[in-house]
Amino acid sequence: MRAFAYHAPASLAEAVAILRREGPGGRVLAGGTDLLVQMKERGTVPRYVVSLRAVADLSHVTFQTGRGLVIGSRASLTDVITNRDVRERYPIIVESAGLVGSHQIQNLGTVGGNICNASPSADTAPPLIALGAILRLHSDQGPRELPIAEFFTGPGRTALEEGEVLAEIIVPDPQPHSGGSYERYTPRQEMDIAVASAASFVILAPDGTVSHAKIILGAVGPTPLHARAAEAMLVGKIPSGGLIEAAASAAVSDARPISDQRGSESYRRHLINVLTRRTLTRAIESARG
Amino acid sequence: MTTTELPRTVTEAPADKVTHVVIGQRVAKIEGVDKVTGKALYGADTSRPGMLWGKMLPSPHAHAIITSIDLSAARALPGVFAVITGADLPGIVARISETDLTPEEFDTPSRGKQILAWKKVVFFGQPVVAVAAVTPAIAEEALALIKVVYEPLPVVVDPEAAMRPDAPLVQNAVFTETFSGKATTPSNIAKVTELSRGNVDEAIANAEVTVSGTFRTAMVHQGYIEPQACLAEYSADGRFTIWTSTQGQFGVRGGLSGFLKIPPRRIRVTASEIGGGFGAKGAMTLEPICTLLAYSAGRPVKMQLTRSEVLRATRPAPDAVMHVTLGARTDGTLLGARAAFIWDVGAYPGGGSVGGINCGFGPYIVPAYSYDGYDVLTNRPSTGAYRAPNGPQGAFAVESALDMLARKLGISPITLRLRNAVREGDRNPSDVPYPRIGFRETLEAIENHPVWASPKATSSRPGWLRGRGVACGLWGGGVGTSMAHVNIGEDGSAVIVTGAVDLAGTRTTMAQIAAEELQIPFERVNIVQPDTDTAPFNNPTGGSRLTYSLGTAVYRAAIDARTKLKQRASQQFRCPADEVDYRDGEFWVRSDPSIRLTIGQVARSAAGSGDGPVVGTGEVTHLLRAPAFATQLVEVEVDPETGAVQVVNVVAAQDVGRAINPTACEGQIQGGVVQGIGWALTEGYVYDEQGRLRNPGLLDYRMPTALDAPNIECVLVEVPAIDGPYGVRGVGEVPIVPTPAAVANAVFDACAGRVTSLPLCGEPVIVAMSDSRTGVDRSQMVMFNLGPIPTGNSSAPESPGEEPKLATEVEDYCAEDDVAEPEIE
Ligand SMILES: Cc1cc2nc3c(=O)[nH]c(=O)nc-3n(C[C@H](O)[C@H](O)[C@H](O)COP(=O)(O)OP(=O)(O)OC[C@H]3O[C@@H](n4cnc5c(N)ncnc54)[C@H](O)[C@@H]3O)c2cc1C
Repeated sequence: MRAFAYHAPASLAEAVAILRREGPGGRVLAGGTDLLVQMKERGTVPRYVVSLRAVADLSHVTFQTGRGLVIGSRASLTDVITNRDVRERYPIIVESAGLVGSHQIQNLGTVGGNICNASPSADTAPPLIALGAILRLHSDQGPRELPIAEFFTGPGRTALEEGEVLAEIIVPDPQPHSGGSYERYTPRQEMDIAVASAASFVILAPDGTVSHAKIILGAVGPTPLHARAAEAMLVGKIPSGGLIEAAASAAVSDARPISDQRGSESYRRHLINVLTRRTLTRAIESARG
Repeated sequence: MTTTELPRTVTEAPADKVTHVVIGQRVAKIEGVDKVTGKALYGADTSRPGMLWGKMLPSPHAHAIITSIDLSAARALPGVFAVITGADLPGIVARISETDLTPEEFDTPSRGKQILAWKKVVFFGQPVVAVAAVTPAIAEEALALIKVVYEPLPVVVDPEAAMRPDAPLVQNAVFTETFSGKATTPSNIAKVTELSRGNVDEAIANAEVTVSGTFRTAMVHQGYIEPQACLAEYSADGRFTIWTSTQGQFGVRGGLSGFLKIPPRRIRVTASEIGGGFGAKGAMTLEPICTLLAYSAGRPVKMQLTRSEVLRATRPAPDAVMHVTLGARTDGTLLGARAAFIWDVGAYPGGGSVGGINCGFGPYIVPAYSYDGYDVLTNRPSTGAYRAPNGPQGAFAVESALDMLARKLGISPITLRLRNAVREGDRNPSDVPYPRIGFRETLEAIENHPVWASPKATSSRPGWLRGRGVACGLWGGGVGTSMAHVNIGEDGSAVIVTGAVDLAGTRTTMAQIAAEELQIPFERVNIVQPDTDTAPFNNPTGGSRLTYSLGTAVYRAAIDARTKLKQRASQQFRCPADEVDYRDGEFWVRSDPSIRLTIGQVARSAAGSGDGPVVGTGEVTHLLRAPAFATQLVEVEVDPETGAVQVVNVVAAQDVGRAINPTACEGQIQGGVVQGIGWALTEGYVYDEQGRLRNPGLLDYRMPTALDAPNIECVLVEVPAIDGPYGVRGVGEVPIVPTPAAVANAVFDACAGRVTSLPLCGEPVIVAMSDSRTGVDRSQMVMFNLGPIPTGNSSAPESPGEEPKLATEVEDYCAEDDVAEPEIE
């Protein structure tokens, strides 16, 4: 590995100051489970690394009614998965974060890193988009907020600007009569990357019709994708087996998969159909309670 | 030498009539503590003062002419001590050996000679330049400063495409070898082997039922966790010292001696603890280039491959395309078989397909057959040995076809195999007769197993389907030279000295054998594996030969030591040696059993009196091969919507001859099965059209993890081999052979989709299920028509790199089966 400078600031303010001072060519390090692999195996060594490991003010996972769930970008996946509020109120986050790698990876890796790495197959991205999460980004100029749906701009590319750090992920309060589910397909049982994935999130109106539907597809496009045609098909209707099948088929045409070493385009389309149907079915079941 | 004369059968009596004390015990691994406490020294753990780090520049092309290499900037970088290209090799070797070497000698399409590409690169990731520098970072920086200009050539990575007459030529000087000679025009078909018996056309025409299929397996990697690592030092007295992770330190010494053209006495090799080899570390990888760098730099040089280098540019197992037709009577009796086995051997010639034929068809009596093997060059890395080399491929084709036949006939897959199973005296496809074997016994063990007898369970996961499959496998067994010393200490304890590398727990089994024959407690036996200057000679470890061959040497050495101790005791008793009796650590005079000495007392006195201290020696060259058979029952669950497959249960029956340490046998069987699950479900090299490997990392090269490994129940069948100690057979290789086919057969049972290509998890299952619904039969593929191979008058230049091995291959059960000889000479 080529030589690089290493900074370990103790606060967020210090971190963004270093990024401003050192300029382009730096990378932020959270758990390092993506970054270090890229440095070691792909030889993409940044000029300098700013570690968040000593930053104390970003490790929180808190829930407050009216303010929603706040996940600090330094909190590990394990911190999130084991948090009682997350387990009770956001099972879909637990479901997806619990799939990342293995216990070892979850102890080191972060939701923030999973998001900022911007892999089209990142497991926590589809559920967070489906839930309408907001990202709080910080630079030395102060914070700004961005809906997560606008964050991903391409494989490995995000709306983060030069000198900006992801500070917090904010997930709105859980809605009554809502339900969500996430599923991915991987050839192995664990330690694997999604060939395709889908997150479904629905809210039901008192009359039983779908008032809100989000279907987000992973690993079938340059970023996590909104299955808009499928969503549109659901809203205002009473969910039925036939409606779910139709939405799943619509999601297939929303997908834009490629063929690569993980799967062919046609197989990915096939999977999107299956995964959309399954997650939608489960989301509706849990929304019905 | 006073080694007791051994009968042809080493076992004194059939195993069941002898009561053994240590043999058959589940003792813990001798080296276990060092391994779990991190004390064991692996290949990269040794360092020397002033040591440099070596790195190699990989080719970004799979096939290209090297137009120019500019090394000036790399050479000028401070901290760089040596920069070597393929063109430099002959000059350096000539200086080391003080011989006149023509560069042409290195300009040959041989795996052994092309340790760096010269003139052209023939596979993606092939090393082109090697550098040595004071730190790994500077070595990498130097690589980045090297400018190589390439002229890309057309690429061929598919073996069937490579066989076409208009395919790009991977090597310009490889000429098809056949039984009748060598072709005169270069070809990617390096070798054609035709094995036949009887009139196969008639046999298949008269068959009451036939099945045909085309089966494909992927190029897979051995997956050893420890990447190759090597440290080489050159000293002013002209000697080389090598520390390396290898399956055979004497193989490395011999290989380097041939490569450097210097006598073995100028080379000392120390094999490290090994973090997995599975055949791959039987051939040299880093040793030659590391040695040349150390010589050129005048400093010790350490090299360690990265995981992506391991996957890109070591020696994976060949991918194969296999066309098979079987003809049988309605009762299942096989009448004839026809097959074409196409082996992708990579960019340099080397064997393969015959081994696949012998392992695949070897378990069955086929009255009439015609089997053709094609070893084909492609722009992929040279392939090499991987646990039961070529066996899993061959068995996947034949055992899948047998499953199709059993289903067509509506008979049990076990009945079908029992009807055709070879017995002692039957001959394999290469016409070699089998000695005593335990094949039928493994089939019967599965047939009588409660899992087979019980009705098929249903999956606990909604929508998932459960299925069962059976397949068998054969491994011919490895042989080779082994030697051991047994040093008796002054306290009557024993130390075994061997030069063989322990891949699989053989230190423990060797200590068990010595303890058994010396009749002392297991705890009083130790075993060491010193370097090639110190240890007695041994061929490399491979082909499941160690417990069989080294076991024989240790057995003989222990008996030799016991005989000598008895003689020393007789000197102390002042009576003739044949009046001394020995049992469980005590000597006595037969006529007066009250006159007794313990083995410790005898050893202590002998250390300073009489004929002196005792060293037992034992050696063995070639034993009769002891073929091992296995039958496996695999249960899978299939998600018919995604094609996901999980292996949930395996019962693995194997004839181990005699289980010296049942726990060690089970460990080998379970390890082999798990690797077989990798072949079956998820492992495979993926190349793009430019011949670049798309998955050179363990994320996308998917080996099974702990969660993918099911419960694996081992059934140890003991049909003693007729040679070797206690009837043992090699255990390590055969368990991987049946697994891929057994998984595919179980998948068919679950979802009625016949998957004919590996790895099968996911899309192939979906395609197979949809084919079976729509009636598409991809198995009835047209066999590739080769036309006659133009064989000539052998006027074609001989490749000096490798000798044709036809004669020995035909003698063997499984050609190229063990790694007794290093490939670099
Ligand atoms: C064996 C293994 C298995 C894996 N399995 C999965 C899996 O199943 N599913 C999955 O989705 N992923 C998987 N991953 C990928 C990885 O573990 C996850 O993406 C993880 O969540 C990344 O978090 P991290 O904290 O380690 O990120 P890091 O590696 O520290 O950072 C990742 C990227 O985000 C940037 N970054 C991190 N934090 C910030 C921040 N606060 N502000 C700005 N930029 C930031 C970094 O600069 C870097 O570019 C696996 C990785 C490994 C090694």
